Amino acid sequence: MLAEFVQHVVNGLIVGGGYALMGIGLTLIFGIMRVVNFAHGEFFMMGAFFLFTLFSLWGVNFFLASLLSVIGVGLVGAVVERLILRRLRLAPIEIPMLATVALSVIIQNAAILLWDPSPKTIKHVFSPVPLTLGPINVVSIRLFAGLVAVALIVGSHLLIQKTRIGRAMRATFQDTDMARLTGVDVDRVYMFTFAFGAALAGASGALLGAVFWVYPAMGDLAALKSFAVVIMGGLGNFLGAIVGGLLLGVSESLGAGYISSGYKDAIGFILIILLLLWRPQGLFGKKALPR
Amino acid sequence: MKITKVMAVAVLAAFLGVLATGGLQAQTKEPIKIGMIQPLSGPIAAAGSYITNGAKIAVERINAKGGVLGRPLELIIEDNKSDPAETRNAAEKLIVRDKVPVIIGAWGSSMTLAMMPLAAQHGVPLVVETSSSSKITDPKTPGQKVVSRISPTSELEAVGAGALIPTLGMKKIGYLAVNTDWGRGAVTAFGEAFKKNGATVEAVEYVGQADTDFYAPLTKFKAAGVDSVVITDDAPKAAKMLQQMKELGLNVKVLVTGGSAWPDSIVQLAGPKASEGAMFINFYNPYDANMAGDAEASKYYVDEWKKKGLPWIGVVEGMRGFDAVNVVAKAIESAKEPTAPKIMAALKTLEAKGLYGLNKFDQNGQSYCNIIVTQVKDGKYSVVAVTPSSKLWEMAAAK
Repeated sequence: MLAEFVQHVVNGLIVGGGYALMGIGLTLIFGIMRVVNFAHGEFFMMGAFFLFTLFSLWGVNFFLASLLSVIGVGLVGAVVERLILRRLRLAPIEIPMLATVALSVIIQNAAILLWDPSPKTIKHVFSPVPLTLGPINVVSIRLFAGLVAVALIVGSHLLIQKTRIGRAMRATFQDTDMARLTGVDVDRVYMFTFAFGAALAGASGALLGAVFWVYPAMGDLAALKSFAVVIMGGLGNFLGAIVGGLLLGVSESLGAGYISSGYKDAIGFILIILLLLWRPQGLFGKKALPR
Repeated sequence: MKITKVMAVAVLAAFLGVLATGGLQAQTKEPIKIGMIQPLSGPIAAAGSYITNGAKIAVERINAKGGVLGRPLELIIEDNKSDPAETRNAAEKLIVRDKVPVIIGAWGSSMTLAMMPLAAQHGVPLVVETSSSSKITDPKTPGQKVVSRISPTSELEAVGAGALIPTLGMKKIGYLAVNTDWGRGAVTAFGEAFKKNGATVEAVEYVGQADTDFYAPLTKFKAAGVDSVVITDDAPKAAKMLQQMKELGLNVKVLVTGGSAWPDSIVQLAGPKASEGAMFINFYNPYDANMAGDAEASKYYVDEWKKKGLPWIGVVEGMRGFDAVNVVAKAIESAKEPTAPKIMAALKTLEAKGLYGLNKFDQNGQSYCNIIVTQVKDGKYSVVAVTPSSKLWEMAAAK
């Protein structure tokens, strides 16, 4: 009984780590750039496909391929920011939003053309035999995914709090004009933020792609979940995205385990509705001030 | 500069449009249009792409022989994005804008059900190639009168497989099904068959169409102590379920229904270890042309599939598109003219041997195909039992 509960929680935490990574990327992009990124799921998908191409098709070392995939998605993010979003910086919020919707459709269909729609397995280097800790089973690839997610979350936190670019990001987040006046290169901050957010989504995709499947539409559900995470945690809030991601992962897992897996996706969203009734600004969000 | 760019885009778009409709092939006679709706994007896009490829092979074969009524066939393929509402939109486009006299579609039961009332309103016949919910050929369902279904219902699958249950030693069953009309219908149909054969369904769990993580329901099954798991879902998800069962240490008998998953696809997707011993309900055997209703067509189809370098794991799914086009072609042939009412009338009395077995339709528009139970044995394809289409037709006649 207890074993079953712990197993559900462990499963939920690992999936939740992936949600959190997605959420952090999305929330940073929104918080700093005020861009609602509807192509976030496609960056997730790209991370998985880059890993599949590098590792499964070209035979690059698994860990190197994972790293290169994440960097690759970050570069795509940088290009998207430079070529598309930068030109729309002064446009009303819905214009860049629509641009990312278009981007998402284009990237997903390009993936169908490039890799065909059939799902791919990444035959990773980990043993398929589960590690048994008492009555709990965890496969090493999932454990790996969970640990890397934790490392990336900690790394992102350090980057934002301790580095020069992180300080510039925080300054831009607080007041863009003031930051510019004090000499922050806001263009660079925006480009870095978008690339970094995209790379985190790509990392999540590469990790979960290795655990599950790789297919062109895999980003749809992931994007939906990351919006849920970000809204739950509070728009633009870093800590909120982490807590929101883990909370969503665990509640889905417990809900599917003890209520019904048919309602798995519903459970997450019911949770959000309840949470927003209680705190409309999200768990860690600040109350919106009238502008 | 701007204008030349616009021109270039326009020319390119026109060119792609021409390519897409196959208009580059010089055809002197006006082609007969056949509408086809499949999931070409979204979570089940792979299945849809296999079926459209199978359909294309059939169209090429027919056109190479001079077409139908002296005219070539032309497939107009629409994407339903794995979504019922989009399926209805696609059907509307095919009927109103392209004016197709017949539509093949739409893979999933929920999608097919969504377009049936619209097709009935316009009097356009539907040839259903994959869906298995019994609702589709239930006279109480809106639009049922325009349906001719070549794929079997879950009930028919249960008839074909049910008798095997006692010999397989399945006693306590956990049922894992996709949360659609297909999955829900199959749970009812197989539930009854299991009960009749002395097995009990201990737990039923439904999963979302795009789900990839099944740890929660499988952990539940493990706690309930089931000795078998029955799966109603597409091949990729069935494969993932098998893998995760192994990961959780749930070593039980497995039966996958629905005909989309088969030994070769599961071995490739889940690996030989996780798939060993798993059983499948299939309707087509690509290794034995004589098992199909039309051996020559079966051989041609498999050869073409290989020649085109299409993914081998899709050959069993692609068959549905191939057979559907042949049924439509034969109906047009006997209708003498390619109009909706004539084709609909011709389908009622049609008898077409195909890869499914004998395609013909009972008073509710349902055909009875071969039911083949297969298994992964030593990592290879093997046949456990066959209930031929002819036997099911006899049983139906005896009733």
